[in-house]
Amino acid sequence: MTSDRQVEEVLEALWVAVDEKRQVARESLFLAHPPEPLLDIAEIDQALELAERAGLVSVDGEALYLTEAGEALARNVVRRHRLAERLFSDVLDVGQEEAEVSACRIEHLLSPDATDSVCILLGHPTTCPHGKSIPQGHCCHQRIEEARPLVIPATRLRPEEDATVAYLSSEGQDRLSRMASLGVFPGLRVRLIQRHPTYMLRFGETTLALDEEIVGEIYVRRNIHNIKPAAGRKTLLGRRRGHRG
Amino acid sequence: MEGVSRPRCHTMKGRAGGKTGRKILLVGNPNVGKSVIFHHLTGKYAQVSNYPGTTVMVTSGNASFGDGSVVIDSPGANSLSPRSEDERVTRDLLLKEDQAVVIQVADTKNLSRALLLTAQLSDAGTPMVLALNMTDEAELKGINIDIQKLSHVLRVPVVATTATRGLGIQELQNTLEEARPAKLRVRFSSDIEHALLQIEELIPELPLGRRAVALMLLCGDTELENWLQQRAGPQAVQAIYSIAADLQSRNARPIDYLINRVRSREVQRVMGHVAYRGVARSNYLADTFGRWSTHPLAGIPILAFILLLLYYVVGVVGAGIVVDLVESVLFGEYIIPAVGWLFALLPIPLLQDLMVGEYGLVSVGLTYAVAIILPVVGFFFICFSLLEDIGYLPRLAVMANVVLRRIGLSGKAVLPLILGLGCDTMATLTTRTLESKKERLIATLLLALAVPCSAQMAVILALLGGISGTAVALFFAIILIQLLLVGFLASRILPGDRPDFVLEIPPIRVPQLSNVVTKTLARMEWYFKEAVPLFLAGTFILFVLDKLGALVFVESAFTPVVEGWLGLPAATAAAFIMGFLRRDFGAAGLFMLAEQGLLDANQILVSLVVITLFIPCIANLFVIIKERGLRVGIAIVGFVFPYAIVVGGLLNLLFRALKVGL
Repeated sequence: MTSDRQVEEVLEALWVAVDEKRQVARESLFLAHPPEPLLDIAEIDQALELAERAGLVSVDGEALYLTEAGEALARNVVRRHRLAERLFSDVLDVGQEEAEVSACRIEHLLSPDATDSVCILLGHPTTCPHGKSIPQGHCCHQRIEEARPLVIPATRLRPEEDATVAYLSSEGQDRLSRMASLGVFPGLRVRLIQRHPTYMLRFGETTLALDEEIVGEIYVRRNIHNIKPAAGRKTLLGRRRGHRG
Repeated sequence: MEGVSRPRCHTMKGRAGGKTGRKILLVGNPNVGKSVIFHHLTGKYAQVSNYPGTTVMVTSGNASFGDGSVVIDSPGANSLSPRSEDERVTRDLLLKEDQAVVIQVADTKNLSRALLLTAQLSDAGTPMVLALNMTDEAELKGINIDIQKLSHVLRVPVVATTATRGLGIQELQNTLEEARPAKLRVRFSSDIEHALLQIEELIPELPLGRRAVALMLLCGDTELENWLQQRAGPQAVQAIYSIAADLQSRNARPIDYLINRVRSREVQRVMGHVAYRGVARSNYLADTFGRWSTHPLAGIPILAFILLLLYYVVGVVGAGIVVDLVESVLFGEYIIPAVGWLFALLPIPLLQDLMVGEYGLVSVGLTYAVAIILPVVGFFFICFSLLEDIGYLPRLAVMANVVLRRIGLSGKAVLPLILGLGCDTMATLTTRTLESKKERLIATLLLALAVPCSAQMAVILALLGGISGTAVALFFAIILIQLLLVGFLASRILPGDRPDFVLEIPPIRVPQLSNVVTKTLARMEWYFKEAVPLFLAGTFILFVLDKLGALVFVESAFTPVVEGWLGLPAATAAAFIMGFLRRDFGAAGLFMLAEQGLLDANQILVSLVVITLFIPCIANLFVIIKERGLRVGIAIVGFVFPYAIVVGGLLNLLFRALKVGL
């Protein structure tokens, strides 16, 4: 078991390094988890040897490469790790550090099905809390949404519905910076005022009109009690309650 | 300060420096009442607005409390790491006026956003006082701020003000002596702090906190490069940028996002100590109007009603009644004859011609600028300022965004476009406030091409109204189609991304007469300073061209096109040329031709379409060149004139092919 975990750790570090276009060497694997490296040099060497034998990694002197099989495996580990981070930080709302540590552990445990469930639950997030992209899975391509998502893009809130900003998924630096200067951060309570003709959001005493595209990048956590009545509208519910009384 | 983009300042010259007087710099988020406080402190008018992004200029004035202080009003800024022209101007002011005392003006309702800016000022280490403005509105919303506690936490004087009623201003003046750097510094994550330290070592001694400048640099502020080159040398600049790039490469989120996020947490902590939420009372009428005005259905009749009212006040009262009075009576019977008489004393015919001749500076240039355009834009500005003070304009942008985004503009561009219905020359000047280069270009082009100004609108309606309602509808349909078509194509062809639409919507407020007057006067002043000289310059050029015989040449060169392709009598060529000088003159020329029976209904429509699509007037062309540069100016001319003639000709062919008569 331990050796499996080590191999996964090494593959993950390699995948991230390639993805971020950093140099890949034994040394960088060691440094992949600051401040405390998860593995020591000996463990890394051992894991690399195992991985090479299993046809997941090819070693060419100092340079390391992921094979096709290794790439697929590594990609899934990264996906599990980053989804787990989202789960812990957005839904369970534990601190960033706690989320990181927990994600490091759970990435080795989640089954493919469980991974997809987490992904559906979170509304197929595209980035992790650090803003790095989450590799997509089957469920993302098919846009499966049976597990009614708790975290959704703000565009899908109902008018006058309150929610809490979970994260911003903007890729563009300018947009994020702009939202930041307006005080839009995770944890902010927002209300969708209207969708047409232009989206309007309100937080505190600020009302903002925004393009749909930008609102769609603001992922919010809904209030649980707002989710249950699937097709309910305020007036409808009110009337129903009146009848009963 | 070479290299750092310089604030556009018109009234600062002469007073800056010199005197021993201290400088007081007003800083704050957009739309928090800085300009009203400026007015109280100086007795001067600054551009007051309820529309974020309308203070493009920096205004300054001597303090009215007479200790030789100079007060400087800055455009609204949410951040000192600039994301907009406004923020850049404010940041540069802080760098330049490093000895200044800052009054940070905050909207009490939105204190947490203000404190985000306070945190940045705290890093800069500028002595400051915090004015909690709009306390009346906050009270209504049930928001209470413990001022003493806040002052204690920030270690700066905090004063509650309601600037619109002049409350708290005296106290604000008194506390200026006690201004000191705010204490709202936060520790960032260790990698950011480490990078900050490294950069701080590389930048020279500064009067402004090095940490603040280091933060700006980390946030990817490339505008500071030249400024830094001079003070620290190219090597240091190189090193700084590599530190910043290195830090950014290790973080997927922009550094200023990360930095502001930490600040925001600290601000929320402070807010927890000082803010208390009571029962909110709402202004039912204002809130309901606010909601309806951006409603997808109810918003449309409201919009239509306001535009109609605007047309009535500006087009009928301003352009019709008042212009008649001023032009024919004041100018026609008094001023022009008086000037003519005056210059008749000088026996130089050329000079007389220059002043009161066919293209005279007084008889044409000044008459046009003052007698025709001024009443029109004056009435327009009154309406505009009123709508602005109510808070309707941003809501108009919300309504317009749906359409404008399809033609490469954001909802914000509705402001210049509507202003263009008053005067295109003025409107082109305001395109500065738009965010991207592409958006400014498209707005400039559309103003030049397809937005008829009010001076001309009156004549157009008089001419077409005489034919039929169908003719009026057809005319506006044709012009609107050109606007949408050209905008759509331009948004596809021109490089650059569509600008993001992010606009703050202020609450609907009951308009205040003093505000409306202040704004209108400020805009009139602006008109006199920026537009009137251009009208005079334009007239002068035409005067020269006329004397050189160039006008006659152009007219004769133009005649074949007019007769053959547009199917119009040759005499209309003169009207077209005049139309470029004065759009309304051109239209009036057509009016005369129609009265003489030289134009039938179809020809009237064709000629009005062509003259409307032409660049409005020579002053507008000057503004285009001034704001967008010569190359863009030439490109716009090269496109607009042929385009107008092509559209007119096609209309002419269509009429003939279908054998319709209006």
